[in-house]
Amino acid sequence: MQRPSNTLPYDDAQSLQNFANLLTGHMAYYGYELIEMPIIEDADLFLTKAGDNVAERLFTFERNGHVLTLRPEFTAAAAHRYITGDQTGAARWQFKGAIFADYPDDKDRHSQRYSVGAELIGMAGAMAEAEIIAMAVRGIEQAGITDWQLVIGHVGLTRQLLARYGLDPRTQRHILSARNDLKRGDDDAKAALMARLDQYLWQTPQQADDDAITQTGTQSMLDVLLNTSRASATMGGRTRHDIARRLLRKRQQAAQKHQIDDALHFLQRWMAINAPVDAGIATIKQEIGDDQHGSVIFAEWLTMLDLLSAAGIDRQRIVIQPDLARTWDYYTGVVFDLRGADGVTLAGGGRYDELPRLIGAENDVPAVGFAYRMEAIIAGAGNLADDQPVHRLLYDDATGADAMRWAMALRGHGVHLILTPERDDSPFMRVDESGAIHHDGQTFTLTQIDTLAEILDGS
Amino acid sequence: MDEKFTLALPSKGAIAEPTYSFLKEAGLKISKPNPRQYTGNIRAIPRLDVLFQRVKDVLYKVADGTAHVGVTGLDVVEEYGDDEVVVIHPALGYGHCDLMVAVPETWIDVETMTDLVDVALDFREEKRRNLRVATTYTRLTRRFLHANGIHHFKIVEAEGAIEAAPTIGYADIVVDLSQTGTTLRENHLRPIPDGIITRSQACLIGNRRALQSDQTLLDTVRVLLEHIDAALQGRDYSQLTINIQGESAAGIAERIAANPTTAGLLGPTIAPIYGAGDDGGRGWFTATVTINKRHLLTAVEHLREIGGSQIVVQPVNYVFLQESPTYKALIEALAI
Repeated sequence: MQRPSNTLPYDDAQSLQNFANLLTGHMAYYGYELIEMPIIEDADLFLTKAGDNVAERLFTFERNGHVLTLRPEFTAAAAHRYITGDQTGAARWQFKGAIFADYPDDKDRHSQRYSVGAELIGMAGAMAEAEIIAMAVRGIEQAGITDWQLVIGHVGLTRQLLARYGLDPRTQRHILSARNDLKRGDDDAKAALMARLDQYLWQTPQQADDDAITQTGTQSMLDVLLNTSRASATMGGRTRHDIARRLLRKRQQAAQKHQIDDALHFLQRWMAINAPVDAGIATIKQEIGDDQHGSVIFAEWLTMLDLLSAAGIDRQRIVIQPDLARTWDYYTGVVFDLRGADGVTLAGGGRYDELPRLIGAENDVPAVGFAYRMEAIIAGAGNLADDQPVHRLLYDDATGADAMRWAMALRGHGVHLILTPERDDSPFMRVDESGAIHHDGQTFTLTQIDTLAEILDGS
Repeated sequence: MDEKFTLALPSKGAIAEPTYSFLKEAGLKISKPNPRQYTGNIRAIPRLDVLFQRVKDVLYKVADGTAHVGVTGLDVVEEYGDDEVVVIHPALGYGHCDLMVAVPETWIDVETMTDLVDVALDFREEKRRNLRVATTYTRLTRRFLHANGIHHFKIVEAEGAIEAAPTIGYADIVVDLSQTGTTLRENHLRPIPDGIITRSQACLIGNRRALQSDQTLLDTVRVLLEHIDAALQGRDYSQLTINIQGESAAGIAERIAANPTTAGLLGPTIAPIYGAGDDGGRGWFTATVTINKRHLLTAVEHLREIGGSQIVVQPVNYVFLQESPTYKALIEALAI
């Protein structure tokens, strides 16, 4: 039988569990309740507003006409749990377990990974963001990684400043999703984006001449464009009205050409900001200028940075990179990336207030969360030794029953222990014919079990 | 008994008959003793038994090792293939068709894949559902749509009559194979120019593990490839025989080779003519040169200019190069 390649990257399950336990134990100090979530979910839950990269990688399958998926992350399911449950006020939840992403064409990528994360849902403002970020940072330190850097950005502010150019949401989306290409900085990337936008925005459909389009009545326009025989033909799932409306929208979008140029210039400056806190703040202030809404967002961001200082997060370790974001469909406010010595992401997350509404809530719900990248943490921190030693208790034909009695009793006293008939070089305890146990040259009877358990626990 | 191997060929479908003709032209006539059975043989390569299967099953039989080599469509390999299957020859030169995205012709606002990205978002935002795509090529379609920025879509798997799906109403667009686009147009669908997913034609495939581990099989495949390569090369060439007057064979050769189109595979072959003319054919030579068909007229022009006449052009059936280039490439691909 051929196993699928690389379903789980970890050779050392114990080490993974130790890290997971350490991090969940750490987050319990902040009042985050460990929640068990289904591994199989409705695919639409993650498709609704998932980032494009998530949608593409979903492990979907169909049962009775229902499209299901292996969970690719915890956040959307957590938000759904919040809005459908009877939760009132803030929910502090944490999660651990397997998450899945399908890479059919890349056998070197792991399709199953282990994730540990937390969500704070129902609490607005800088305090919630600072709590999540501080908790993420301290957890990394607890895991033994001291060399880290905190990169902070703001999707909301980026969107707000881009909105000044009056672009429609679709065009804005095109530009933002091309951000990574643009960021590579070469002229080719910009030219490719412009060509794409050009195609998308300004190319008037061949069949639609100007006169037809400038007629505002959509019905009459369609009558001109589609002769009667064609109009009655195949439409897929679109009505003539849909087609007419999109033609008009294309027309309106075409008027944005010079604004797009300005927006791209702004975005290129904005993307270039990657600086320590003080320098970063100064540049951002300049970009905001007299934009009122931008100033409000910015003030709250500054408050959040102050709260991080109050939480003891060293300002020197923070980098301001306002365009930081993994996906633009998901986050709405502060986003962050916690990076290790080699720049690899150890944890990341941010604010996603719109997601709850998009999956069914009546209004936006303030929500912020993050996830640890366990494989990066294990790679960065090395193995985490289990501090609970497992003792060995020898038995043979004559002492089996007594050994069993002792083993159960000691486990009841919190001692980790295995029963074995094999005597080798490792230290062991044994039971003699009287039923007493020998450990390290001493003999104990069952009445002295407390003393023995104490010795074993400390050894 | 000698070791025998199996060549799987399409039993029906668009590439079945062209495959038999192609092999016949390559000197590999298939004989099928019993028309009701699914087996046959090739006299030129006795080691090879022929198994007739549907195009998709040709791939499966080669993948699971039941057949060692097979002829199928490149589209089938790209859609259903796995690591066990190696493409030995990707372009046998027939059975051309394209897998393409087509939309209802009434969608006059959709001319590029970028438009379709926009429309897919409209479906989600305005109709609260995903764009539905009817196709049998789910793997290739998924990959192509994602690569083009369409992430929210639903594949409607359908067998046959896919082109009718948008009219019947169970899909919005289709991804389908088309040779000329006629069937699409008849169903009021329009291909998107940058929506061509793959350009397919007949190809030769083999079972990777079997080829890597069995030298006798590899030798048999080499014989098969010698025929195929020689026949495919032959299609590109013509043989020209001309009569030309000159002082010496060497001088004529130099004149002919002066133009690259008439330089031949290696150079012209020249022989003196011993004719019954007034001068007994003295000073006349006949030259033979193999040229690429594409340059036929240029070549003829040149030969006339240097005094050639009675130019006879004959088709070339086979061109055997020093070794089969496809076999050489296969050895490299198998890394053995």
